[in-house]
Amino acid sequence: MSTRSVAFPRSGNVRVVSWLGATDHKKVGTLTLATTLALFLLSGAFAIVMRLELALPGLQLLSHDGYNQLFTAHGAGMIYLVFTPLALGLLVYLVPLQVGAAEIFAPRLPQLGFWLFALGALSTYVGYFTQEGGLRSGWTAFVPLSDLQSSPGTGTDLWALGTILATSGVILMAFSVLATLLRLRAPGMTMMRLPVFCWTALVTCLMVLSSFPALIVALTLLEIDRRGGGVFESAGGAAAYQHLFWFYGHPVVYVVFFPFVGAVAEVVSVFSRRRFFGYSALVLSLLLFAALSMSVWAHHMFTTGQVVNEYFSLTSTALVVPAGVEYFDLIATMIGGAIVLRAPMLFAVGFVLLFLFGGLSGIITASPPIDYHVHDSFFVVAHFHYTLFGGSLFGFFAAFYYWWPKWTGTMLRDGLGKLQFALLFVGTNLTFFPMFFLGYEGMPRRIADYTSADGWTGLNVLATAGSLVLALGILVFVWNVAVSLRRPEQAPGDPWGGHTLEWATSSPPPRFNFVEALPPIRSFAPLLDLRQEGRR
Amino acid sequence: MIDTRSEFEELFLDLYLPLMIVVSVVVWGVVTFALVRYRARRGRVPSTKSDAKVAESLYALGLAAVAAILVWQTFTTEHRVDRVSATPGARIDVVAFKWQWRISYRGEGVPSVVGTRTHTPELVVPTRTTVRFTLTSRDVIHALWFPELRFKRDAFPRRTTRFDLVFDEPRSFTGRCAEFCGLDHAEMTLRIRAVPPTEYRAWLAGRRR
Repeated sequence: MSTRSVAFPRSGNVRVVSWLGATDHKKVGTLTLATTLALFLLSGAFAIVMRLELALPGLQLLSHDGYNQLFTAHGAGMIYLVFTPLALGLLVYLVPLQVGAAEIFAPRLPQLGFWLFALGALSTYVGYFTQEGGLRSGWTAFVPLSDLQSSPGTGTDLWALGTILATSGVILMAFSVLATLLRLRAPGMTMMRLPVFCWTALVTCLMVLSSFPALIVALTLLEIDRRGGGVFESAGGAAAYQHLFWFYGHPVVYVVFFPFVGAVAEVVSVFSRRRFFGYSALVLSLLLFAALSMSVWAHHMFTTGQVVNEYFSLTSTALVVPAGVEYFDLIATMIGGAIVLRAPMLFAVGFVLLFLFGGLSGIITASPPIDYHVHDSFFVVAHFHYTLFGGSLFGFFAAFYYWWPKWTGTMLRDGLGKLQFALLFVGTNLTFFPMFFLGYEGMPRRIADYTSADGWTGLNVLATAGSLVLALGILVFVWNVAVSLRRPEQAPGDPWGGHTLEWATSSPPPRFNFVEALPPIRSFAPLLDLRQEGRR
Repeated sequence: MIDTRSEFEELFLDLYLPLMIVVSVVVWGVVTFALVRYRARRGRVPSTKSDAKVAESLYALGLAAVAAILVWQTFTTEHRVDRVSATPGARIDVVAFKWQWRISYRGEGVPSVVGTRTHTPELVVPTRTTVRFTLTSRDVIHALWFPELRFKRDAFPRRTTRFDLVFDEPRSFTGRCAEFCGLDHAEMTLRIRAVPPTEYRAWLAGRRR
């Protein structure tokens, strides 16, 4: 085995072949992150066009059909092709480093995973260039709306096949990450010495492996149905598809959330200059969260009148306990710390403040008599955007600003990061808070048009204005990355005073991650131990 | 007679919403306090305490108690809202289809009302009467939403579903399809007009002629 270190390629002399054939988990992770970020910009642009259409009554930019394809492309893109692979890409890059491993377990699996995901994305988007256009029945693709009669055209088939490919890829990545966590930990790193981020990775992978196959089954059956199999034609067929779909569809929203909780926990403790508070309570609550996540799926089906609402209301409301414990631990880490408000910490604090509204409105929608009103309305749109944008995306930016020096050996501009944070924080509230009221007042989701008599114009104008602020914030982010790549500022080896092993090697790490001997691992924060003993 | 609107308001406006507002204020307040009070400055030494198992356990128990109260209130409300009467005062059958509604007044001998692309149908209901709705779909899944009554129910093909609603006072509002159903989903609305029972009977009689 060669221990030769391979330099991180700079723009201008990227060796294409070394990237396309890469089995190094860092390169596979980087490829995944770069691809998902590009698709994030695309799916985000779709959202801006939707908001512009919704600002005023009447159809200004799009037809009904155009809008239907657009919101489907936005939702399906963000879930299947952006946040899920983004979450797993982050784990593929970081988990081996955090557990002190030279490699990821079975490196060719995440490599194959990336290429399956990339082909899946290609298949999905090629669908939009077919004669009848792409998927237009929502990211959930419920039957019978998605059957051959209601959704003719190969775009829907290409989407289903693409999503099966992309999801298979993610499953392979999750398998490798889980096996790395279980089998490749450095000597001394017991399970209860795994960094917090690794625990979130572990429960994420458990959820992927236990729930994602249900989506592959659902979409395979959908394809058989569309080829004349008549799978869902019985009286219970439409509800059966929903059960299969949501058995995947609820855990997935925790899959795209937990790795960012882990990132925020790392950032909060590092930037509060102290050990994460309540480690064992957090581990317990993560496991409880993941277990409950497998039993809440039909809270998406309260209004069908075909499920035992009480059961799913009970399990969903019970999530208050683990979620509340996580909040307690995050905030208790800040209290008593010495808080440094650099860009990563700002995004982490933003995560705590904004996800709150997503979580609390989630408890509200877990009550069926309330859900009877707000289900499929803009209230729910506000709810899940506070979780995904206010939660996952703010958590992602905390991770991105925190680990960028590790990935590249250079720093992002902190000032631009703070500007981006301010724009996104204001923009998120301006865009999504009005949607709570719109939904409450009766505006359904997935409509391109409304009338001025509906009285929703003012709030829609506000939301659209907010979305432009968000777009500006994202442009600042892109600008920051571009500037920092073009005029690199060298990063010190451990710019933030990190707690975990990835900061005990050079940045970017060499091909097999660690050249020197690892420091002793006696807790989940080995570098903090050294610092407290005055040895670092 | 269960009025879904006041049931909703009792649960949402009197319990869930105030609780969420209190929690939001507390969390934003504590985080702001922490950022100001524990900002890194000269001489500030971060705490080395790393857990408080008793406090955390008590707190988790407290959360479980809150969850139990919410679930209890939700269940009692839902049992009232979901109940269907043995003796409804009016029976109305609604069939959803792409992208309109067909409304029939069962046993009244009046022609059904069928919406079209250019004609929004009107659903007339008596106030202070238990109205039994029987709902189904002819093609894909739709959902009939009565925003003013804070209630909706999905319409599945090859399935019928029943629910009771009470319109407490005369009012007119727009009902909508809430489940995305394809091309003209956004246009799938209906007018809902609740009138006093005498007026309702007169309206039916007028339709029979």
